[in-house]
Order: sequence, then structure tokens, then C-alpha cells
Amino acid sequence: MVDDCSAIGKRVPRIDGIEKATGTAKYLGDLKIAGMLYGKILRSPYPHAKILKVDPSKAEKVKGVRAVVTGKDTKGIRLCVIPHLGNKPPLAEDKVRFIGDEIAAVAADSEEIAEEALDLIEVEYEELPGVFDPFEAMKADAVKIHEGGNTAIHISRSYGDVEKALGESDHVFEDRFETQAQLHCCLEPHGCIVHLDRSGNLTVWITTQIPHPYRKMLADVLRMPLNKVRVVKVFMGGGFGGRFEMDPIEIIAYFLSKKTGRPVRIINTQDEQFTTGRTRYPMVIDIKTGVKKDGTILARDVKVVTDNGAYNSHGITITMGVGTKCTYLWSVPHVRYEADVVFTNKVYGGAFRGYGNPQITFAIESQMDMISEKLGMDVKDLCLKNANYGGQLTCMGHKVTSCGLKDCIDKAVEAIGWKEKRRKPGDRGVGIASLMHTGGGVRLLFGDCNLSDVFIKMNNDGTIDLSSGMAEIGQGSDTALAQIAAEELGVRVEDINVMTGDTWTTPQCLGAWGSRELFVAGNAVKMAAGEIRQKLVEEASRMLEARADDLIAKEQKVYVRGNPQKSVSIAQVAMTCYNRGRILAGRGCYDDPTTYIPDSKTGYGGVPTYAFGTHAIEVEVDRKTGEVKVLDFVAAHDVGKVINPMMAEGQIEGGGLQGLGYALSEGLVWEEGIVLNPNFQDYRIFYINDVPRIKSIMVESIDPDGPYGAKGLGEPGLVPTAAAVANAIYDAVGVRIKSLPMTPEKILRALKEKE
Amino acid sequence: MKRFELLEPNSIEEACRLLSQYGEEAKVIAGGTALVKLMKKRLVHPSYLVNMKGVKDLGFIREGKDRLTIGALATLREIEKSSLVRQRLQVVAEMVHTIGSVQIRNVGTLAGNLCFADPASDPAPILIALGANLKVVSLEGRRVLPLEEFFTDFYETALSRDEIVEEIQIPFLPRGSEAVYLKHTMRVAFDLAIVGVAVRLDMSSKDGVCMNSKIVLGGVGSTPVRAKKAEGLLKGKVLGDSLIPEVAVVASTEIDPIQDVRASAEYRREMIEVFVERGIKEALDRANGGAS
Amino acid sequence: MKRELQLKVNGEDYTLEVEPQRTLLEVIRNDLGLTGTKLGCGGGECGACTVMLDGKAVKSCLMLALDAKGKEIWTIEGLIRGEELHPLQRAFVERGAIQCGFCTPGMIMASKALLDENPHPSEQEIKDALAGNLCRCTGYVKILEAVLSVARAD
Repeated sequence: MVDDCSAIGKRVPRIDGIEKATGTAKYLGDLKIAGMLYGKILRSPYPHAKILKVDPSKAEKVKGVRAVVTGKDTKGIRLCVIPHLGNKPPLAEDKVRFIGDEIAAVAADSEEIAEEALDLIEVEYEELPGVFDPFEAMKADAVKIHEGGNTAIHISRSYGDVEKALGESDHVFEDRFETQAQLHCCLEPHGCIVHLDRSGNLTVWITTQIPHPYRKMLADVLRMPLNKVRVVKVFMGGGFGGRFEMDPIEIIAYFLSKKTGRPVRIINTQDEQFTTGRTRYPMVIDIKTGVKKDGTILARDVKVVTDNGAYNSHGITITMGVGTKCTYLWSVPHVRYEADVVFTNKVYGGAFRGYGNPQITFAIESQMDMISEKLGMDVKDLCLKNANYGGQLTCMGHKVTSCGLKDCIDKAVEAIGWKEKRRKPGDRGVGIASLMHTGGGVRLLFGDCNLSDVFIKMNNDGTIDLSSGMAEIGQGSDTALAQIAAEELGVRVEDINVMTGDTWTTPQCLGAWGSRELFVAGNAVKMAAGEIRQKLVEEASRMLEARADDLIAKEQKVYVRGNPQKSVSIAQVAMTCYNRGRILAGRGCYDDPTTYIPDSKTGYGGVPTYAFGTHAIEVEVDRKTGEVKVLDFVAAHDVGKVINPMMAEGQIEGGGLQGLGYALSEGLVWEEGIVLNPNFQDYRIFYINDVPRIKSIMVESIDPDGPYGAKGLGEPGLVPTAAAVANAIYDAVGVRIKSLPMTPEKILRALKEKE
Repeated sequence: MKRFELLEPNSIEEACRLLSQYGEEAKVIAGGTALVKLMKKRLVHPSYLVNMKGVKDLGFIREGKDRLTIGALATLREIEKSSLVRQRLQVVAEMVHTIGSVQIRNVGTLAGNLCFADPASDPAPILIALGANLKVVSLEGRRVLPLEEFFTDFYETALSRDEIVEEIQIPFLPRGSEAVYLKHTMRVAFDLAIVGVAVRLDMSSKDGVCMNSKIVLGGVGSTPVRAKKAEGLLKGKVLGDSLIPEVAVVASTEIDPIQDVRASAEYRREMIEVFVERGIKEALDRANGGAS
Repeated sequence: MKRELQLKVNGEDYTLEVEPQRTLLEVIRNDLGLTGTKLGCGGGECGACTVMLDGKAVKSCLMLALDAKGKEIWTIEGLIRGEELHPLQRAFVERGAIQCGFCTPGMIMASKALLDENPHPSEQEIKDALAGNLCRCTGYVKILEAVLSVARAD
């Protein structure tokens, strides 16, 4: 059945493509709501200071200013995606803790007037010493950023007997790896329009990945009943995890709207995005691995220090997740994991595609390459020897179902020309690195569930309205769901109207993160469409005088299997149902089948399926300048079943390029808490001339639980890239770089030290 | 941006008068790509902008007996695509191609780039190596000023308050002379140079001796810098394989390079050596009729 | 103080009253309601604001609106003819060159400026023309393929 599909596996152009290509798609900055005011935020110029006084009186008097709010207005509110960890006030109350921390805000008739007024808000500070390095922050005499101390959490987990296993190892490898703060660099800066009308109805137009959970967060923080809160996700210029929580600007806009009764728009400038937007958490990873001389991994002892930044966001959950990933890819029976998540006076991190996996995979996969060299083994053989396979349990109890890892490794290695290019003299080299990542979300953040609810109705002409609480953030989920519905119902993709993103008109779904939407929402769509198909087929069996079991719905008609002339169009069936008062509606609510709630040891819940992949990269290193040219990039990904090859390639190519940036050039640079590269000129993300063609190879392991066997691909695209590049650099010129980004300067320094 | 008044003179002399009248409060705008960006970031806030684009006949690219003259309003793109520039001073067209992006080059002017005086300006090193001059206009009249004396500090030039650049004069390379510009960046396009090296060799036709040279370094100091000691070592010599690396090492010791978020001083020093060596070899290759 | 600005946008003549400090991007988006051209970085680094001015691709966020006087401007909204997509638009849609779509108008306009001047550019010429346009989603692979497909068509 799967091979005979009309919509599944086809290169269907995305259903919102024309709107985007003609400039008619409306993003947040394109919206004009009647009566809208423009908000601007006053931000702290100091990384750490007490606030002695905030005087907005002069600003309030400026012509065209409609409201000014300060910490007095938002007093007591604390924000964090994990509510009980919330320690970020929307506007500072007694202290500011990083340069850019929000202090006050103005709503005015224009952005110009708002900016003018900001200059008139008087703030008295008492500067405090700042601490910018997590190791410094952990010292007993370090200045305290928060009352409870500078360590947000200490995590300690242990499985099996690590000390004994290390003792039994023939070799123990101990290495330190360091990763940097990577920015999402969404082309569209973050923003919102918030309107609290005088009836007490709250509408928030916003770029969010999680409309329904976000609605609940708003309702909780603002103590409002949910039926009074509406979240409208608009077209988004990128997400990548950067819009996976509540940002202070939304609460600030709320209070401005509350004071004025009017909609208030706040959009960050790109400068604000660079200096105050969420980042990938920088980590220092000490990894000790014990192996037998035949390559069997016995134990892994990992210590992580996460630079949390000034406030809590996803840092704790990400760091917990890193712990599980210590035994993800390669089967390791004894694992110990210790981690500290530490506050510093810098911008705080958040979720970013990969959720901690890029950091730990950089460490693990670099070390595997080093281990293989010491043991005299080809790294590919070392990997295959220790790989998790389908049906296995990791030592932390995670079950691997479908697994295409071996195929990914074999295919990537062949496509890059491993045999011809590995360990050859000269300045070129090849390296590989693999990944294992959640392929369908995880029971982690929003209670003991990982669900999606979908409503579908078939109109009386056979076309479809599909309503889901998912979020289309550019990855193409709307189109993929339309393909699944089209396949199930035998209609065309263009017959389907996909409605997502508005909490008023859509049912519950946890949103776009954890690479979950295709798996979870896709299954829900299948269920809902299945209900409709059954009713269609029942009616058609009456119309055709045939048995329902013998009928197929495909290519816009229902026909008898083996006798396609005996058919009736779906439109006719739909009209007949309508005339007979039979409603063609279906509902599918899918919650993933993993049954365990968040593990008390890992803090992580079950993952319904895992995505796998291998990146193979060829580089050429200029020994005089340290520059790295990527000559070839092969990305083999186990996607379960490809629903839309064109969009899947897009995820791999886009993710791969973000991975190359993470590996070679991106990273915020700070000095005493000041961001030194807050623009695209100096924060180096790649332009079109910098990039190689990325070759995608899809491995289809056909997941038993995914819709048509599909599993997620949103995040895996960049998880192993940095390690593959590091391994290729080592193969090329014999230097091992253990800190990201691997700039020419670092490589040149390492080459000189080697001489 | 803060409010300002846009003044639209019809002649360059009128523009000078306006600059003199408004003093510190006025700035000249040509293409505007650099200035508008600074104004939006609130780093400069002139109350008056003297808009040169209304002045006619400043967009020329002309050939003289021994040099190219480029008007102050000629855009970088026009220079890049000019068949005159490509034929007579190919190295200038090559260098302009590395600046920014097509959109910026469609609007930005060469004169504007030079007056902005970014330490990493691409035109500056190569034009200095070619011996370029600027003709500038003030209320007192016109004067010609060597480009080598034009840059005084980070973003500062030798222009007096009411002076405006009218044209750039670039001598052609005589027979036997070649020049190259090498730009070291992290990304292929768009980046400002970490180090920009211009090398000009004047070779004797008889015995392959280098009679004279200019080695100009951009992006490493507050202004472009000539590596005069290195130039001295090339003078009168045959440029053999052992001399060139030595000369490059000397060039790298002639300046204490700046340090910034793009690169450390030490790395810049190392790159000066690498690119001076590469630059001399490439210029020599071109002078010997090699592939360019 | 406002000054009169006459310009032609997407084939239509406009007379506006505009203060000197307003950029061309602001005027296109706010005064003319043509929101297809995007504000990405505001500093000429991302290319999302690219429009065609007298046939040349320019970054409208760095251009004073008054400097566009008497000029002919084309924005993304001007490409479609009735219901017929421009070949570049069709290629971007059909070849998966669009994900979030924020960079798309700028990419298409920069590509159009190239193809108008050079109907059959090489791959490197396309890359040079798009060198100032950022995309964070696609990795540029399909954008290049889309423009190439139009470049190679007769």
C-alpha cells in the first residue's frame, strides 16, 4: 500500500508557497490592527546592578506617549517555560542581571515617539561586580546573581558501576570539549501584538512554536481563564527553538495594553535579537570513556557545566537531556553523569534545534574518532560494534524501535569516498559523526502527555477543512499533514484547507518542538481521516451496492477493488451524505504510546521513536591560514518514511548549514558581559557563497508507530555536523580541535603547536 | 533615525558652501550605505545632510593619457563592470568585486568608501599601491592630494571641514608593472578584510629585477600602512624563492596589528606574512605573463 | 519637514509627502502598504529589504526615500501578472526553495535583477548576485537550483 501512494512520498510543493513567493503572506510586522500602539523597551546597560530608582514621569509627558510601565506594574510575576523554576521578572524589580535586561517600557503612537520617550526615563543604578564565567560563578566567594546562589541545579545520575567498569577497561580516554553560544538568527526578529480589550478578552498575535501551551502559560501567569485568552500564531520568519517559550516582551506588551485598552506591538530590532535573544547553551563537557581493546565501550563518566546565563529557561531540562544522550548513540552499560547549571551575568539561553544534543554529540563523536585511532580501528567499525539496534534498551531504559543507523553509516561512508580519502597524506581529510535524537517529541515539558488533537470535516463537495493546534514554523508541517489527509481520504492536497495556529479555532496540540509534529500530529490526522473514510466508504457501498471491505478511496473517487469502473466520485458521496443528514467529520487524538512518566532519575520521559543519522564531511585545510573549506557534505538520515522528499531535503540542507556554522564560525563573543559581535557582519552565519551542496540520503526504517512509518526530522539536521567536521580536520592535518567554533585562528595555533 | 534636513546642492561648490555654513552639524551623503547605517544605529546624528546626488556630471569614468579618472558619484558597480576599468586596470575591477554585495555596490560610491575611511577598506590599499590621487574641492579652490596621505586615523581623513572629493585619479600601470589585491576573510563574500594586502611590483624588462615595489596593508591598523622595510628588501633584486618569504616576514614585523572581534593581533600578524608572500608571488606571476 | 516625493512603484505613479529621515523601505511598507518587502536587520546585512530601483537590486533599508524620487521601483508584489506567477516565483515554489519565506521576496528580487541583466547566468554568477541575501532555513541549495532552472530555460 505504501508504495502505491498518491500523496505520500511525493515532492509536493508547500501549500503556503505561493503566498510567500508573492509577498502576500503576512508576518507580524505586516499586520495593522486598528488602534495599534508601538512599544519600545528600556534595557539595562549594566551586566549586574541594583535598581535604586526608576522615574518614568518625564517620559509620560511626551506627546504621543500613551503608557509607561515599570517593574512596579509587573511586580511578582516570574517567567520560565518550567513555571516553578521561574525567576525572570518581565520588568526588573530590584536588580538587573545582564546587559539588555528589561527595565521599563513605553507605548506610543509611533516607534519614533516611543524611542524618544525611552531616553527620558530616569534610572538610578548601583553597579555590582559581574561574573561571566560559570567556573568563576561556582566559586564560594563569587558575587551572587540570585538569592539562592549561582548554581541553578546540580544533577547527579548513575547507572551500573562506572568505577568498576573503568577499572576493567583496557584504555580510558579523558577529554574536555567546549561549545559556544549559537544564536538562532531568525531573519525575522521576535515580536508580538497584544490586545487586552475592555471586555477582558486577551488576544496575542505572536511568532510562537507552541500556540496551545503558550496560551496556558499566558493564562497562568496573568491569572486569566483560558476561554478569555486567544493566541494567534502568524506567519513566522523562522523558529529553530527560539520561539519555544514566553518572552518578557509579551507580558510587557500586555501591561501596556492593559493601561491603554489598545493593541500594543513590540518587535525586537535585530540588535536586540543579537544581544537579548535566546542562545544555545554554552557547555564545558569533560568526558571519560573506558573501552576494551576490541572496541567495546564499557563505561562513560561525563561532567557538564552549562552556562545558564542570567535567568532560567530551558537550561535545566536541556542539561538533564544531555545526561540521557550519554548513552544514546552507542550502547554504554555503565554511565555516570554530573552536571551543574550555573548562572552568569550574560543573556540567558533557551531551546535551539537539537536541545543539547549538538553539544554532547560533538564531544562523544570527536572522542570516538580519537578512540578508534588509538585502538587501530576504523572509526566506522568502532561505531557499528557499539551501535544500538532496533529492539534494544539503553541502560537508562529507553527503547529503540525502528533504527536505520547501520544503513546511515554505510551509505554516508560510501558516498563520501571513505576508502579513497581517509588517512591519506596532503591537506584533505574526511570524517564522520552520527546522531540519535528524539523522533516524535518527548514527555517532558507539558505534563504526562505528548499529544495532538485533530478535527477534520469533509464539505459537501468533497473538499476538506482540517483543524489542528500544530504550528507551521516554516518546516512544512501544514503541507505534510495535508499529504497524509489526502492519502487517507483519496483526495488531492489542494482539496485540503489546513487551519493551524489559532487557539480559537483549533484543538489542543503541544506544538512544534522535539521533532514531534509529523509523528504525533500526523498520526492524529490519520485517525481523524480514517473516521471520515469509514463513513464515506459506508455511504459509497450503499450507492454502489458493493461491500464496504471491497472499496478503495483514491484519486477523488471511491471504487471497487479490481473493478475501477464501478465507482462514484468522492464529491458525489459527500453531497449524498449531506443530503441524507450524515455529517462527515472525524476526530483523532493521538498521544504517543510510551507509557512511562518522567523518570525520576533522568528527569526525562519516554520518547516514542528515535531518529538516526550520519554526516560524512570532506574538508581541505589551508595550513598557512587555518581556513577550512568544506569540499563535500553527505548527510544520511533515517526518517522512518519520507512523507515529502523535497521538504525533508530542505530540513537536512538547512540543518546541515546551521551545523557547519556551529562547527566553523558562529558564536557570540563577550567581554565583561558586552556582546562584541551583535550583527550579521561579525556574527558569522553563512551566505550562499560559503556553502557546499549538501547531499541528502534518506534511509527509510519504517517506524512501527509513525504515520506511514514516518518519524521526525526537524532537529537531526545539525546534531552531528560539528563532530564530523572536527574529525575531518584531524584526518586532513592531524590537529584535534576541542572547542567550538573551530575558527582558522584556533586551527592555525594548533598546527603551530604541533610543529 | 533622528530628524535632519536634506540639502540638495546643484554644484560641488555649493556643497562646499553648505558644509562650511553648517560646520559640525552637516555631513555629506553620496550613496549613503555607510552613513545611513551609522545614523540608524545612532552613532552619528547630523542635523543636515548635503546630498551630492543632485550634482551633475560627477558619475564619470574616463580615460586620460596615463590614468583613469573616476568621478565622485561613480558607483562601485559601475566601476566593477566598466570595460575601461577591466581592460586598463583589471586589478581595480577585481578588488571592487569583493566589496559587500551587488545591492551595496549598486548604490555605494568609490569616493564614499574612501571618505568613510574604514581601516579595512578594500580600495584603499590597492589604490595607494597604484599611486592614486584625489582631487578635492573647497571654498578656496581645488587641490590634488595623494591617497597615501589621505587617511589619518580610524574613520578620519585629511579633508578639511568644507572639502569634498570630486574625482579619483588612478595612474595606469606602466609596462612591466603588475599589482594584486588579496583579501583574507572568514566568509567568501560580504566580510570586511581581516587583512587586505596590495602588492605592486615594477619589474625591469631586461633582467627580471624588481626596480620598485609597494606593499600596502589594510585592515591591520587604524589606516592602511606601507610595509616600507619589506619594499626596501625587494628593491633591485631578483625575486627568488628564498627572498620572497623573508620579505614577507619583515613585512609582518613592521606594524603592531589591531585586535578586534574578528581576529587577534597575533593572527593578523601571521596573515600579513602569508598574504604578502602570496601577493608578491602572484604579482610576479602576472608580470611574467602567467595566468591571472 | 515633509517633502514631496514622486516615484513609480510596480508600474503605478505615486505622489507622497515624506520626511527626509524616512527610508525607502519604511515608505514602501507603511505609506504604500506593500508589506512583501521585509525589514530583517535594518542595517543592509540580510537582504530581506531588496527591491529593484531603475533595474538594479538595492537594499531599501539603507536608502533615503527621497533619494528614490523620479525612479522606477519594483517590489515582489509587482512580479505577478494577473494570476500568472513570474517564472522565478513558480520555480521557488515548485523546487522547495521556500521554508519560512521571510527571505523569499528579497531573494526573488535580487534574482530578477540578475536575470534581467543576464538571462543565462552561470552558477557562480547567481551566487555572486545573491551574495548579500541571507537565508537561515534552506541552506541555499534549493534557492540556487530554482534560479538555475529559470536561467537554463529558453
